[in-house]
Amino acid sequence: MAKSVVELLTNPKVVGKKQVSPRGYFLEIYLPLVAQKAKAGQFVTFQATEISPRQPLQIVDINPEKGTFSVLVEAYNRATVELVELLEEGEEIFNIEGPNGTPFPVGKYGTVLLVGQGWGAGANYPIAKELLSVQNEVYAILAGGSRENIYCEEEYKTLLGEEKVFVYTEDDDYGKEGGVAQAVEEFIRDVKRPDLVVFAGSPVGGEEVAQITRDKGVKNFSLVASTMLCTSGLCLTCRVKVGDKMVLNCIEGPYLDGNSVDWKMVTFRNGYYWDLEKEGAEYFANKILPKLKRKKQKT
Amino acid sequence: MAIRWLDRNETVLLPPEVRKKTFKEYDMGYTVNQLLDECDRCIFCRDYDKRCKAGCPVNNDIPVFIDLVEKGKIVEAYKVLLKTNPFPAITGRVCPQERLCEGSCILTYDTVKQKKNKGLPVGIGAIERFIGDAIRLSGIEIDEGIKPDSGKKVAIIGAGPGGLTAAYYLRKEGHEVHVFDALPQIGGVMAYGIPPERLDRKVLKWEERRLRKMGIKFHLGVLVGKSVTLYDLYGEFDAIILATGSGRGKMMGIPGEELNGVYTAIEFLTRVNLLKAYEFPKAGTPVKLGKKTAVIGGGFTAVDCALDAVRLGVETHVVYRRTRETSSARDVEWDHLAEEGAILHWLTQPIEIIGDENGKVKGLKCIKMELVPDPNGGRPRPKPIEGSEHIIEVDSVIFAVGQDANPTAYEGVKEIQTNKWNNVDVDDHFRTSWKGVFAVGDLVNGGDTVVRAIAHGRKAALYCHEYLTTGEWPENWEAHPKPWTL
Repeated sequence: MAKSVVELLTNPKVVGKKQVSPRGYFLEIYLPLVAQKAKAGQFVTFQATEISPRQPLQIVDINPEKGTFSVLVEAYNRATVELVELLEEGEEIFNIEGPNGTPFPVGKYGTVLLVGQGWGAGANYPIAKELLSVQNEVYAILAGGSRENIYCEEEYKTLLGEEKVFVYTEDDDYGKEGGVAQAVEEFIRDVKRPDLVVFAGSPVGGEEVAQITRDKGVKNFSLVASTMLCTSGLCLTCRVKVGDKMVLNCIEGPYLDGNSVDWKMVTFRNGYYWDLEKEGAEYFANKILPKLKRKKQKT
Repeated sequence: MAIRWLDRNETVLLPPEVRKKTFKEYDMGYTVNQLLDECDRCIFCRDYDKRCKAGCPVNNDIPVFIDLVEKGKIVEAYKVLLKTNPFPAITGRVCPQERLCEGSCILTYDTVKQKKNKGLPVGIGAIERFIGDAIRLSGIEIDEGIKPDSGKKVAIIGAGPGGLTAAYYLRKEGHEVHVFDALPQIGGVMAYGIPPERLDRKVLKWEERRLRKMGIKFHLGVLVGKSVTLYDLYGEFDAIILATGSGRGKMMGIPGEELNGVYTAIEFLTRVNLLKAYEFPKAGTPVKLGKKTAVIGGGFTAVDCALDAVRLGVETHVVYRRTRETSSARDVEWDHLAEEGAILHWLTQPIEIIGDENGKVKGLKCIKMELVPDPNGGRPRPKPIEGSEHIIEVDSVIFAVGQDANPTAYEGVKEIQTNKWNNVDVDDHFRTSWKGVFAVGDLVNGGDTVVRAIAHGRKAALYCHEYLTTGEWPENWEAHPKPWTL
């Protein structure tokens, strides 16, 4: 029998932590409510401590029987650095909110090309599974600046077959050389024209991919990584212009109609705190973390 | 004894040059002597239920607790307050008393004869606050008088003032109460909205401990509508109380709102008050107002934003299209802000946000207004003065121009009837159109005070308890035509 909501509510706990690249970690979290309710494409909001920033993270894998789910964290700003440094296996987390956002519109589209840029590969992974289960022909591009930004390669290859996964790095140290735009162009030229492109990654990459799909008239669902704050539909921080409509990404997203998203606005708004994010991350690394480590050693 | 018309005790405020540099509470409240002296000013009207008590949205028995304080029975006074208001230390701080209880004090206004009197009202707010604080700091554990378990379960959606109050009174009746909230801390607007310089977070923490001790269960990080649906909860609970507020940020629809440096009040307040951006980089969430900011609006939220902005060391301009007298914030708060150095622009309407070449705010284009009488007899209406356009140079803009409904919890739940503002319709017993589901607070009236939400929470708890006991629900449910009067 299905468990009641109240029975599913526990304090979130880290049950697995695995480093997969210099800055990339998989965290497996025990939180039965999310494991039971989450659908592909949804995210959760992490807060490591009471004064930590709120960080939305895409759900990469769900295990309802175990009551766990996994996220991929790439430590690049204050919030994510805090998460990978502060969360250890076996420990409880201050707060996780979710599952949030609108599930990905799973359906039979035909040929689907999933484009995952850096951590975006993790975000697309549960969608790949769902799309496969309803008889789509699914291909995946994993792209990143360098080899260390390529995630979930083995998982995709196992799921889709080796010949359907294409790896690109910008510095040519792994896979083919090139960014997301080149990867998508080459796919269309050499493999086939997809019926749907699903993108996840940086807004700059999103814009590049959308330019191609718009030109070729291909449907596009893209994860829009706009900065979020409350993730509960109040603050309007994450607002995104889709066509002529203003959309709350935390409620209606994060996968939106990529061909209609005003990507420039997203890139531009996300850059507003860039200097402070850097300052905050450095302060954490140099001032807060050493103290915490000393404290931990003592106990 | 002669009536003490004018010698009202005023609370001590931190001096402006001190308070504008700290997020600590700046109103220090009454000293013990002030408290006792102020209680002495109350003339204990026999018909106080038509006066201060009627002016109070929760109908506190004001002269009763004042009398008990005078007799040295502060614990009893607190208990009298708890009958109508579970959080006296909070309402004593954040209520606009001069238009509620204190505005109905006979010393200043005779509500029965409807005429002005010559005096200043009894400082009811500060007395109430003192009583709450005294208990909080005394360590005395008040027996909340919880009845034996009823076997009924209630879900409350939203841990703001309305939800917490409903939780308190339903738990007292012995029901099992579960409160759900999306944010990691309880308090709703009292946590993310009202700044710590007006409401010390220690008060909120103390109230939280009280509620947890009573056995109320909190589930934080659950966004009803997304994490779980109302349908999930409906099957599991005997009743549901919706108290999700109406807190979605709002802008004006003027050009330039997409620029960097444009905030809604709620984004700004959440960053500063909930996530403590004022302690950045110790706290991880930044806020970036630049050197100068403009707060647009003339209500409580605008004041709260301006208080925070001043304390962040930013030159703060408040821009409002009406006058100080016609604004909805308190007069004394505008004085406080002006003392702290905020620049107040009355009769000024923003018409465009100007950006620089990098898409950052560099100015706010405004037009001057004049007030003209409303032909329908309403508030005088502001009318633009042609040719008075001017630019206020600022690096950021904060919109405190009202709020919209946040229907996430009940969107797509067709059993719940909503109105044209997307707020929830209720009848005079706070019942929604869905059997067993009640709604309270801003979600019903679109935006009002903390104390109004507390009033709703208590009444709804009463009707909810009645429903849990009898199972009765009206067959011909009808929406209240004026929910803001409830």
